[in-house]
Amino acid sequence: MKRGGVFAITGVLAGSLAGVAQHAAPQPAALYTYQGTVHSMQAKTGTLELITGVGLALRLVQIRIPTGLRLAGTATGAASMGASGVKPGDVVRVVCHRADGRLVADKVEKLEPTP
Amino acid sequence: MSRPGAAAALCLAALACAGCRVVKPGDPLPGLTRDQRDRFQRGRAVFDSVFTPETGLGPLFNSTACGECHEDPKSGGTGDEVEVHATAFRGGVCDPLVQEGGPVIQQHTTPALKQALGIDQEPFPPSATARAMRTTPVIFGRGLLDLVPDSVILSYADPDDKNHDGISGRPNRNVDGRIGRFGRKALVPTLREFNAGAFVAEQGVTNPAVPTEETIGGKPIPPGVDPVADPEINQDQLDLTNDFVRFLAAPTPARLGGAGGRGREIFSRIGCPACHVPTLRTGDSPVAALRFKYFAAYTDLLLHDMGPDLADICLGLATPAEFRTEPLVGLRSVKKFLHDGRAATPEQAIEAHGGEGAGVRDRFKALPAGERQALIAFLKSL
Repeated sequence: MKRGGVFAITGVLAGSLAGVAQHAAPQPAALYTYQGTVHSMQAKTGTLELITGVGLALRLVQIRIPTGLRLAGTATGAASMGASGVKPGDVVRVVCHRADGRLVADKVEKLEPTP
Repeated sequence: MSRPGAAAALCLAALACAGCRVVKPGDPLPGLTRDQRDRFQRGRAVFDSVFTPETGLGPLFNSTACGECHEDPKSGGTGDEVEVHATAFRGGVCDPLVQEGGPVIQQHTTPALKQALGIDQEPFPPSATARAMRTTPVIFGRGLLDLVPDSVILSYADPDDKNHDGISGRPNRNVDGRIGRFGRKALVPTLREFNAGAFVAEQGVTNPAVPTEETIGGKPIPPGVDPVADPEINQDQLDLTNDFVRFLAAPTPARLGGAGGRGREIFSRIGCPACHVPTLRTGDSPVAALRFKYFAAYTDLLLHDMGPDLADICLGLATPAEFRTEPLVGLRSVKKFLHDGRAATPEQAIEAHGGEGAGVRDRFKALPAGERQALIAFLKSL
């Protein structure tokens, strides 16, 4: 029914959040992990579109890629996200947080198929 | 490609008389506990529940109940509905067209959506490069397929055809990279995920695993059209449905007379088991009735190139011509054959095999009429 921008959070990890909601101490931003197939990587806008979902109910997640973020987990070492780091069809794991209502990537890791 | 032919034959012989209790289509697995049988019955009630817009149906849907399509001869069987899928295949990469509503093109709308947008079905995605028709598969024994270890699936793969037998199966991968096994293109890794996705993609019923509706061709649902709060079924209903589906037994193959017995031998002789692996074994499971069980599967759960005549859409790593080997378990209940129902008989289905199946097809066509009939009698016993 609702049309939220974020679908199918595969993992929400914010260990220090538990039980401290009412206290005054600043809380770390919740981290979200998405694992999916790259639909597009738009270098100009710094937007990664990721295909996730369950079964045949697939969803598109948009994640902003900060300028200068390097691609983790490649055999050749860090590569630029914006240029040829990832391409449609690649499977990636993205750790991100929310800022101004958008998902912003903290880490993007390219995954190779494992047996 | 290693094929456990002799071992499989022995296992099948054992299967044919597993406790000598005949399991009919739609029956629960033998050996379930009382509690599990109770969940099977309660899950079937959810599976057969008819949803309405007031209980969560739509706004886009293909059917009003799981059991509306999976109905013949019993819940979990086949049906006469044929649905429409679409994707785009460009530059060797498959686009499931999520931005245009996803690969399942729902054929019905609720009255509220029709009133709001004036449409009777989801618009066909303009970027699609192919359209596919999809029949309703029988889902008997799918809980057993769910538990076949990935390592077993990979053991049958031979993507580069290193043994030069003309068969080069490879696994599909889900969008997150895991090995897939369910669906005609083997995109989906687990039965639980397939069921949760199907509730939404087929009925427009959101659930805790998929709490958001499909878009309308990529556009948001108009306000007020889908007033039921998400998720539209709860975790207990989803779990019960999963238990019903995974506890559905693979029917006992019918007792073979002389012709059918010869048919099984011919099935092996012409090479069908190279892809339709007769027997698979489940891995570990908390459910004893599913744990380490040999069962008649007749699939390797891999993708095979079936040639240009059968090609339709891509999905995941599957190219338009690649399809997962269809499990033949429950074949006696099937009325239309192949993924799109184009074949009216098993003979026509075999004769439509191309690509990696071309050799077997040609050997089948070269059989004397009596041997062809024996093979078909065997297939209809499954």
